[in-house]
Amino acid sequence: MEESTTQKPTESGYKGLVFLDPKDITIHESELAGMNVTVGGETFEEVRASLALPITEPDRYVSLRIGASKGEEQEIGMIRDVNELSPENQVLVRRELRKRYFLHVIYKILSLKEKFGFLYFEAETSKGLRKFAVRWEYNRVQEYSEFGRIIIDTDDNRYIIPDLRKLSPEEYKNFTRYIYW
Amino acid sequence: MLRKALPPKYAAWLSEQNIPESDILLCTDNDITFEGEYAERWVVVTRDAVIMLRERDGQVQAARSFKMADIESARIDPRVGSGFLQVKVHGHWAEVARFSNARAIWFERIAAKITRFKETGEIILTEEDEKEQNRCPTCGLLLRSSTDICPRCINKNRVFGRLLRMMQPYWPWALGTLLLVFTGIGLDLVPPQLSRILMDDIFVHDPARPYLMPEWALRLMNITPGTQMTPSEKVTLLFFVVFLGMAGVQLLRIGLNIVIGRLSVTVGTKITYDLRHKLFSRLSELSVRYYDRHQVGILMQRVTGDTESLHGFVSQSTQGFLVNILLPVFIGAALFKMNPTLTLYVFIPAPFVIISTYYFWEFVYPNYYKYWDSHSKMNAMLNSVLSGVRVVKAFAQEEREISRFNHLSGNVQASRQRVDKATGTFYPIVGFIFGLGGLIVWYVGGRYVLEGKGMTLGTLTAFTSYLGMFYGPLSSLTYISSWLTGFMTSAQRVFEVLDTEPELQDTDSALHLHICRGEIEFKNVTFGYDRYNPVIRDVTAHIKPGEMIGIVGRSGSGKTTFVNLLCRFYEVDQGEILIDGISLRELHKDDIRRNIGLVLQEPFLFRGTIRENIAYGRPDADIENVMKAAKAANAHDFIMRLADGYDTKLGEYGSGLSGGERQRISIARALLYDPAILILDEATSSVDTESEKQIQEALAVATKGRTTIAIAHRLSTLRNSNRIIVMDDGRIIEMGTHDELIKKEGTYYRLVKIQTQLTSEPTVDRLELEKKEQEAAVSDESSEKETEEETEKDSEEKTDAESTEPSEDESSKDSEQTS
Ligand SMILES: Nc1ncnc2c1ncn2[C@@H]1O[C@H](COP(=O)(O)OP(=O)(O)OP(=O)(O)O)[C@@H](O)[C@H]1O
Ligand SMILES: [Mg+2]
Repeated sequence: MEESTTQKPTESGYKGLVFLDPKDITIHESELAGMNVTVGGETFEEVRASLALPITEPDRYVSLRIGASKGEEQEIGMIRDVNELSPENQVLVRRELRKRYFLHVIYKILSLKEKFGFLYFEAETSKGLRKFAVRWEYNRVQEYSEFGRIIIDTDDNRYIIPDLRKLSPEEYKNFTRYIYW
Repeated sequence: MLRKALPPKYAAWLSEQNIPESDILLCTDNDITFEGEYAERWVVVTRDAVIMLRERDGQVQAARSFKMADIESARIDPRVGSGFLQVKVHGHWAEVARFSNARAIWFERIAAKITRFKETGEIILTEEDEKEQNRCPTCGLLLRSSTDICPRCINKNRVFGRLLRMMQPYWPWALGTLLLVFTGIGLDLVPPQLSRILMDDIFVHDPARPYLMPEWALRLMNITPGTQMTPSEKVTLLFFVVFLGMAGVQLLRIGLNIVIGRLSVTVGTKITYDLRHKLFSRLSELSVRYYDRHQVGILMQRVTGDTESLHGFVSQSTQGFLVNILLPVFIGAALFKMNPTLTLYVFIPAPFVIISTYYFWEFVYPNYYKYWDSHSKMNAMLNSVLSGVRVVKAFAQEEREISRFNHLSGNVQASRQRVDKATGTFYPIVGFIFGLGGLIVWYVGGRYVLEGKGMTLGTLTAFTSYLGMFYGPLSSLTYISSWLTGFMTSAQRVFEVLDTEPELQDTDSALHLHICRGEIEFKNVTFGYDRYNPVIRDVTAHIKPGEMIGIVGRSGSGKTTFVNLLCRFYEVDQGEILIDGISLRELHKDDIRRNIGLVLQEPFLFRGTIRENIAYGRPDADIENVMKAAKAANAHDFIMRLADGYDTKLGEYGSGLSGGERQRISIARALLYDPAILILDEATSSVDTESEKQIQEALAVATKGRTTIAIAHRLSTLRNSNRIIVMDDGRIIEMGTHDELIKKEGTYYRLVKIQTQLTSEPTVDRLELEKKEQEAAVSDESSEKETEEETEKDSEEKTDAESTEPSEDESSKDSEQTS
């Protein structure tokens, strides 16, 4: 309750969650930052996109937002499914989503060794072959979705194993030998 | 580093553009493209422009370039795993570069420096900016702050070595136990030798062979050595061997077992006691940050469960493990002495067993992990559901929680089954293989006996009974890997906690500050819970001793973080905080905390009596002071209404009290602590306005001479403040007295306006008030006093309204007159 009183008052009042009609959206590339989005005749600039369910639903529930800092941020509306957009719009939204999420999906763990409290990974990832070191600590490898793990390396970059069960038996064994929590 | 040397290619491009090197203010490399692919990029800031350079088809080009004259300011736009450096050009934000988290802190600084350059025309590089990031000087690992200790360089011994070192204080016990264990093994070797005597001397003695029984023993029994025994003499011998020899050995052995068992329990429990003590002390030393990252349930498991399994290690090693390793060695020697060739046959099953054990563990290990994993998931769920049992009931989700639990419990069952079924199949098979070994020995040895190849029946029986003692421990040695795995991971989990260096360590030169005036200074403080996402940005503030400061700001703007830093729960990333002119880093942690009384946003009470909770910071406080503090916190009266008064026992987290009552107890706790600096983080948010006013009045007395920092959303709470700080997105955007800020018509002014608008609408309080006023009008004098109080309160609440909208209501002026 109190929180809402400190929010910036909006003239239009409370509208609830807005779902955008995919046919009503036109998206243009912006030269500066974000996208330019026209919805119902109104054009927004510097629009960015984020996912409501980045882990479980990477293609659905995209929120289009303006304003970067905590105070200014506002939602234009949500897109239920990226695939319902026109192909050109899809490309732009997907590109904007790629700008929001920077992570490496691990396809294959090529090697994993421990030395002095560090785990040294070598893995095939969505961003090519990567070698990285991870502090061998509980908080550096955590659960991601139900069966996945997220790994944060010494540079704070994020690596994801979407499903441990899909690792080969050797990979699994090697992984759980070190990540025993 | 903010002034890196450009590679020749890029430097050449700059000179082609007639940009002299001396013009370069900032220069750093960058690692990813806008699309998030890895590639080399450079960001160069000169007096005239901000440029992002890349190489394409072997040619350096400016991918982005913005004229400094056009730029208004710069910022970081943090995303997930990466971020963007943006500059504001003609009112629009434009992307300059994208960087991965590894570079975030550099770009954060670049953005701040560009912005400052636009304001002051200067770029100042500090020593830290010139340095390569906070890296460990020895190994180059990225560290959080310059004071962070490099975990790679802390000498980490192997688990086993550490464990032995931990047992060092107990070496006399260990030695004693070891001697006893050896004696026990020696005793174990005796019975088969006695049975050999039974066979070869008594039952089927070959006259051509001398007796096995030593001469002195025979003499003891009045048997003349060198002659054949008479049947009666044989019976005597039988008696001695069975009742003195065999029974005696068994008695001794049992005695030994009892002593060894008791010893190992003594040592084992001592060690686990020590370990729990060490763990708990370490856990209490660890910083708040550690607890942000670790689940309490799992830490509990470490203190209770994992230390227990170390106890298992001690008793196992003295009783099972050690014996099982030593026994086969000694028995092997004994076998070899009796018959070397036959001993070789004994080893036939060994390779099979070793190989199959290896494969077995390769298979079982992952399943073992799955078992552990499902078990800890079940525990975690249990922990959270039981603590949130009220929510479960309120939403009528018992059924779902039951089925969720059953699901997790089923996982435990399934994984446990897999492990145990595998084990349950494997060990009988190993037993069978060993059994085959026994059969081989019977056959080969039997032929030796039959064919008279230097083996007596007695030797063969002794041999085979040794065999049982040989294979038995061997097959349980394969078990050892099982508990060793469990134990090692337990030990690892324990050592992980013990190895965590408390992030904020007092240096040897730390200063003591016994009596503190309460002067507080923040100097360009920047801090983020994650290194790449600052929550407090470049905050500078000076708070005079005895001042009362109010902090307001949007939820999530960093108010609590501000006070967290002041208490040094976290270490600042940049800048410094001073109390009485001394940097927090140079002060003893205890002294900082002794001078700060804190009332948390979520009041936390321990299980115990109300008195104990109030006196938590000063356990020796006498009851009168406890009551005085409670009175000041407006808690005394409700406590007195309770049947058990100050002796009332509170449940977990203070259950049994209302939210506002809990807050008042935690205020009393802070007041009793009598700190120089009092911090109230939303301390009265759950208290009704009337009690709040009373608390305020009491606080006004109690806080005299103290520096007080009060955070509140309800602005009326802050009316006594000398100055008010307005925070937004980690920055202080306004600071000054109430009147100054109102005059400024900035954020604070807007907040005040919104709140008075809200309260000027008919609220329950107001309706109640009106009703009372009407009642008062018709009733006698006695109620007048009450009305006066109410209207006074009304006027107080309205002071905000007056200043913002002086024209607005007459009623407030009216009430002002009445009061
Ligand atoms: N332990 C933490 N780990 C990571 N981020 C945190 C942690 N605590 C707070 N934050 C984040 O830091 C920011 C500032 O939080 P803070 O608690 O200081 O806000 P606040 O101003 O006290 O808000 P409120 O008025 O709601 O209490 C928030 O965005 C929050 O999400
Ligand atoms: Mg807070």
